[in-house]
Amino acid sequence: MARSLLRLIAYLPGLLLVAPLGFLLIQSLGSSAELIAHVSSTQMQDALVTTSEMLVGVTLLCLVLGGASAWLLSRYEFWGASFWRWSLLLSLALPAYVQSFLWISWLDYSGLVPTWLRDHTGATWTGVFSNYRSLPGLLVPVALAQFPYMYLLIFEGLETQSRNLSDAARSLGLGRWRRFYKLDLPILVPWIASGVLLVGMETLADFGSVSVFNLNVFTTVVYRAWFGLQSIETASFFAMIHVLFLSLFVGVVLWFARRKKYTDPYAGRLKMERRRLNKTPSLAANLFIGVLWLISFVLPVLQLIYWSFSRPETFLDPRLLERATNSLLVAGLAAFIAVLFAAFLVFAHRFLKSADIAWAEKISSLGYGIPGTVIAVGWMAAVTRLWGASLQSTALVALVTMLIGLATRFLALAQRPVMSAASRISTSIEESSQSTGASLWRTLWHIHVPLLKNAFLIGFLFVFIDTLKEMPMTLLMRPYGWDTLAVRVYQYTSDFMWREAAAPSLMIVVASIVPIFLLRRRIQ
Amino acid sequence: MQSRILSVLTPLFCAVTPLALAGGAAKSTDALTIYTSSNEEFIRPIFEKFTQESGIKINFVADKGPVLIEKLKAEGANSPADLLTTVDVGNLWLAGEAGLLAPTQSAELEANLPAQYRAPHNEWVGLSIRARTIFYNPKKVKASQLSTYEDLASPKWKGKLCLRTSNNVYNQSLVASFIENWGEKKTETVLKGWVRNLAAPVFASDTPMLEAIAAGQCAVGISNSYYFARLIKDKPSLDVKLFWADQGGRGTHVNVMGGGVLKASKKKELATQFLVWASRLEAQKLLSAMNYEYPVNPKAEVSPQIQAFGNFKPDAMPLYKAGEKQRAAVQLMDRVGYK
Repeated sequence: MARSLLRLIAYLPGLLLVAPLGFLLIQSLGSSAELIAHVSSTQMQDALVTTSEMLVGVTLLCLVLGGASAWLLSRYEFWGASFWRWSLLLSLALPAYVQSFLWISWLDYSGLVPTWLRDHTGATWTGVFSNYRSLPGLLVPVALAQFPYMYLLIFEGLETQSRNLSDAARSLGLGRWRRFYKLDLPILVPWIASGVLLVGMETLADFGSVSVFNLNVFTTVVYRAWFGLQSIETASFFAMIHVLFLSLFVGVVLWFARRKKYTDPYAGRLKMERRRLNKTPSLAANLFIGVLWLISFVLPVLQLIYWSFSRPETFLDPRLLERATNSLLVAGLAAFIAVLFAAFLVFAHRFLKSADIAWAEKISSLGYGIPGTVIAVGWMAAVTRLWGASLQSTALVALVTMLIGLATRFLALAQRPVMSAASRISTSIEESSQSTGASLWRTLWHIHVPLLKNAFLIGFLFVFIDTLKEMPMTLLMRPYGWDTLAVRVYQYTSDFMWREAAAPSLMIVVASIVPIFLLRRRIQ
Repeated sequence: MQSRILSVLTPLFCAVTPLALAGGAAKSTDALTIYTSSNEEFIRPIFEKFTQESGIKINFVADKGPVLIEKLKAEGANSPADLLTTVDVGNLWLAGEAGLLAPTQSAELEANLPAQYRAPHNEWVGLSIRARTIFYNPKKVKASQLSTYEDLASPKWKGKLCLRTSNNVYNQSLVASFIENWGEKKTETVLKGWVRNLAAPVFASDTPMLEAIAAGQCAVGISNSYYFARLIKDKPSLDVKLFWADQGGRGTHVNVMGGGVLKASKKKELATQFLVWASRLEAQKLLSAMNYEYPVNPKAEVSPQIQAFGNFKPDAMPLYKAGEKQRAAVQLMDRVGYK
């Protein structure tokens, strides 16, 4: 009885994600072949190339930045390290589209840096900045906005790794590099894979940054078909293509990471020792991480502060506080629901161990790669067809469906840390618990929940921060007259009204710092 | 520690949620619901003035035009909205095509606003005019070198042209008016020439494009008049000047910010009352002053800031034709690689 209930609950998140997509699929069947041919011949090749390049570029950059900093901060101790360990996460407070317009304002031809260079040196060579609004230029803000996910996951992986394996390897005579290659790296595979999936999916779903840079990717193709060609059916068709591409990407990553699970019986205990760094290496480490922190957090925030104070009336607006409250409310509720779903999925996986649960897990995690607009239109179509009235006709319906949409969209963020942590728990625990006669729920509550508490909290905070920054879905599904900070920021930035966008952007940053502080204690 | 946090936060959420929901619900005494694609900052004072004078409260939702139209389509007859205002004729036309708008009957509206800026059956009316014309850097270009939109496609402008993205509805309407006036073949040639002459990747908005002209990244570009007015108000010494395009021919392309009463509205008379109010001299003057646009009502006062740009001959094409050719314009821009 408990098992079938668990199975049912495990199906729920996947169903809630797939149902609106199903309505979208039905809708896409109504698209005209002529329009599909037009979009395919004029935009798809460019979109495919740009999307792939963006995916690979951002993921690699994040691996390098996140991986290097995680390694330095987990394996070594040096002056400043305890500060860097949590402060690197602060750039999570800045949405990628805010970073995008900031970097354009600094590095584009008429921006801060080239203008200063032209005024103070020769004019000619600043032409190199002429093409900043292109794919290579885009990689920087997007990677800076996302590398903390990679950093956090790899750091967590390194931290929970116990000493006994590397001690054994050392005593058997393996040198440092071989230890790294044969031992540390393979053990990190689930964490690296999680990071690549997270960063990759967020990149695939990006719409704000690519719009600011005006590049052509799948999300913009969908948007343009919908609003430029006025064919929601054609847009639905290409949204389905997008989902296919996303599934391909997820499949490839999971295939590479399909190695056998490494259960470390000493996980969480017997921590690796941190080696103390001498002066020069310590300086180098501080320089690398310090510059990273500077360009990903400090300079952006300073610029936002400067712009918002040049328009002080934006702070005095009473609606700013109202929007901030809305943002926090939605973020908290969505995060809570997401963690609940993640818990059910992981428990079902452990106890039921059947193939269909594994599929339910994979399907549930796909929401992260699906653009918010797609999920929103799917829900709008579903509610209208099933209920007969518009999604926004009651505030309650709009809010509930929006929360479900957000929770299913960001479920992967909660799933990954929880699943990775669960994979470290030995399977013998369930067996011994059941051999003592404890029921399924007792085992879950008394054994798994305490072991996974840390992962639950990390998942909660991840979803909280991402929902705070979420804009496309909120824009479409929110009850009328009800705004969040992210919605306001995007409406300003899409008109390039940077100064007006600065104050609500700052509030997002401030609101995100609290959860990051909470994450900080997890890091120490 | 975590359970303490949760035990505090959970009841807090439960307590605050109903409050938030109640706060978000609409209050309808005598009130209008307007869906507007105007920037909230610029339209709010207009709505507030209307409320002040008429006592009718306005609840509005601000979002991009096409998004509002999709929303209205999805909402159908149950839509809470009474009026749709958008910043471009293309979107107004789309709303009409989708059967969302109801024809208004108002003699005063017809008397105040010229037919060129109204839909054939007054499904929508224009409330303020914006011109999309040529801008140049006076240090690099002399006004005598400029003439028409199609001239910008000629080889002498190679590497000197800046444009806004074709994703933007203002450019879509501009190209739609070209198709209407010249036919698709000539428009395609002109657009190909434009793309060849680009000095930089297309801009996501007009303002950074104008700043690029001032910085010297390019010499000429096409933008809406009000962006220019706003920009030089902030930075009067900027190296950008306005040139009225095609004065020797059809005239400069114009577009409107306008509105239409929604078919689904249960308060069509109130909604019409807003449109009539907005067409009168005082509201027209306010619109012009606040948004640096030209009034549609020919008797209304033009804001002194934009009067300084001089008089110009607008293209006399009835605006709804630009709406008709929108989709063809988008497809044409796709084909020539105008991003």
